[in-house]
Parts: sequence; structure tokens; C-alpha cells
Amino acid sequence: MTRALFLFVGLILLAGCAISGPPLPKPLPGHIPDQAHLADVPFHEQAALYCGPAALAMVLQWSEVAVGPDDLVAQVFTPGRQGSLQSELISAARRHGRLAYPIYGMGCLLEAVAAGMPVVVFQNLGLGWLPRWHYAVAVGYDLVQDEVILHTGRRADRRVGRAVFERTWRRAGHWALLVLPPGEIPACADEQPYLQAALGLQHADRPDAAQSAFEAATRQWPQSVAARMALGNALYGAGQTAAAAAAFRTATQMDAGNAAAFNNLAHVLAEQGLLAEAEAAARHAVQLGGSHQAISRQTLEEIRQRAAAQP
Amino acid sequence: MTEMKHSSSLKKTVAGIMTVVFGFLCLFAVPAQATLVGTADILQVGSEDPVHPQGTLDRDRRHISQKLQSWGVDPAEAEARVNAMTDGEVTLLAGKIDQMPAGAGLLEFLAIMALLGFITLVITDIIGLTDVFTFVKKQ
Repeated sequence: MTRALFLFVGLILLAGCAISGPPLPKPLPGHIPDQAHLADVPFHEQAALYCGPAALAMVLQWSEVAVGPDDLVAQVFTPGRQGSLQSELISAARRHGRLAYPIYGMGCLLEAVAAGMPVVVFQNLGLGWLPRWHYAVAVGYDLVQDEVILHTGRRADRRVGRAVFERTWRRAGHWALLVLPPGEIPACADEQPYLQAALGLQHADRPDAAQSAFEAATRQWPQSVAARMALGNALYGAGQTAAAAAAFRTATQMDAGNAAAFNNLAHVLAEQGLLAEAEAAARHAVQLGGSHQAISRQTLEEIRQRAAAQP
Repeated sequence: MTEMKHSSSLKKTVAGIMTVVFGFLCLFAVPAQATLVGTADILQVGSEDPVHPQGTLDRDRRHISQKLQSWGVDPAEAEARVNAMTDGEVTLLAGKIDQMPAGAGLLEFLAIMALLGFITLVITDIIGLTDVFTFVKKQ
């Protein structure tokens, strides 16, 4: 009978192993140091349900936002789920004026830490059928010892074997989050997701932060018309009409077939009182057509009305 | 019972008034930017996501906000969380918010642990190792 019990427990454990699978191969970026440890990331003990607020507080404080886990509970904790959704972490970071940029996979994680950025990691510490979701903060790694260094639970700088960490991380989709001061380009950044992350700052009603993020984008991806347009809109929103006009003009020079660029340039020029130039740009936008043609027509119409109203 | 009905109809009235008020606010807010192509539109063209009409987006935002409220988040706070999401994020999240994992999500874990413990004890009761449950016929 006792043997039957052992068999039962053994089967459960085996099932667990089957689900967690073999450790991943080790794809690593070749250009990073063997070891990195960020000593400047504050640690907050993670109370049972509040790993989300605590993890976010660590990276927000690292990025020089003065906010504690207790303040963040109201912004990221959802009582009915007894935890925090990934989207809620992202929203809260933005509401504090910080760029929230998700990254995936070990290569990006190591690259971020090597570049001095702490990384919020989402883990399933349990099994697929017995999940125990958790947020920790990766603050270092050691490729020689094959370890990742985490601020997790009640322990700062806990060293975890990389294979074990990989498994718990993979069960949560290899999801990780960078929380950065606006203007800094995340490790592993791609243009489109970065611009979306910057747009998120605008949604969170942090126009200044969004503007810094878009400015950085135009430096990082100088050939990006979308970044230039986004910056133009941000500058216009901040009342910097001349700078906005310059950004839109650059966009029209970079992509002569971009109707939205000509339209926005026309709008801003009209605001500056340069009606003849504005009308030419608007007419060009209408000619180019595209999905925003209705807006272009309206821009042209308004400029003509303004010109007609002038003595 | 009638009181509850009354309060729900009151809620509906208030919601109706708010809709009208915000509707008017939108009317005023739109013309200032009407002839500028916004950043959300510009970034959408470049991405591979299908273009979503504004109506669907508004509905998705409302859906997420209501979900959060049903999970005990204060209405204004739920609104603020949803507002800080981009259109793309809203579209992705709206369809699967029920399935999205929440760290720490202890409730789920403890429930399954309790169930496992229960099953184990029933089995050990059956084989006569323990004597926890009276409904189990001991050997």
C-alpha cells in the first residue's frame, strides 16, 4: 500500500518534469561581459500578493521616480485576480512618465543587464497546470557560474541557476519589461515597438516624456519618417510650432510620397500664418491621396478660407 | 430588491448623462486637431496590425475597464489604467483578458494545492495510512 502511494507521488513528479521539458540551448550575445551586477537597483521585499507593485517600485526607483510599493498597489493590483496583469505594470510605469518596453528571451535580458538596465521578469514558478505567477527583477548575471541574479521574494541579489530560471521564465512566455527614463533607448529595441511604447506615454497623458522618447527615436533611427512625424506632432502639441514645422518638413524631404507629412506641414504652416506655402503643401497632400485624404481636403479647405478672410 | 433595481436605473441615468457630457466634450476637442494626422494613425499604417475602426476600439477599452471593475478595481482607477494603453495593446488584451495570468495569482495556486492535499488525504485514508475523513470507508 505504501508502495502505491510512492508510485502516485512519483507519477505526479514525473508529470511535472514532462511539462517543464529539457533546458533550452544557450543562445548568447557574443559581445557582452561574462559577469554583470547592477548594485544601484533598490530592493523591496515582495509580500505574498504584491510581487507586482514591489518589482515595479524597484525599477521605477532605479529610474529616479520616488514611489514605493505601497503607493503602487492602488495602480497595479487587481483584487479579483489576486495579482497584477502585465498590462497593468506597463500602464503604471507610463503614468509615472517612464517608458515601458517589453523584451523577450535570454539574449535580450543579458544585453539589457550588460547595458546597465534592470529587467522585470515574469515567471511561472509552479507548473503549467499548477501555476504560481511571479514578478522578479533581474539585476545581474554570471555566465561563468551559469547564474542569473534576481531581486525576488524576500531576498535581494538571489543567485538562481540559469537553467532553472529559464524554465520558470519560459512558462510565462519569456516576457520581460524594461522601465526607463524617457529618452533612453532600450536594449534590443526595434523601431516599431519602440514608437508604440513612446506613444503609450502620450496615452498616459505624459506629453513631455513622449516628446523626449520621440526625440530619442529620431536620433536612433534617423531614417524613420514615422519617428519624425511623431516628434512633429508632439512638438506641435507642446506649442513649439516652428520646431514642429521643421520636423514635418524633414519628413516630407525623407518621403516625398507621404501625404500625412505634407498635410501636417500644411496645418502647422497655416498656423504660422504662412498661408501661400501652407496651401501648396495641402494641395500636394490632396494630390497624393491615401487613407488620410479626407483630412487633407479639409486642411486645404480651411487654409483657403483663412486666405480668403485676410484683407 | 426594488431598492437594487432603483439604484441600477439611477446608475444607468448617470451613465447616460456622462455619455452625453463626454460626447459634447469630444465635439469640442476634435476640431482643434481635425486637420492634423495623429501619431496613433501614423504609427498604425506602418505596423502589420489591421486598422481598427474607432468604434471597436472604444468598445474594447470599455470592456477592459468593466472587467477590471468587476475584479474590484475602483472605476476611475480602471479608466486610468486603460487610458494608458495604446490602441494595439487594447485590441490584443480585450479578447483574452480573462486568460491573462496575473502575478502573484495566489488564489488559483492555493485552490489547486488544497485540492491536491484533499485527494492525497482521501487516498491515504483509503489505504489506511491516515484517518482524516469519516466518509471514507477504512480498510
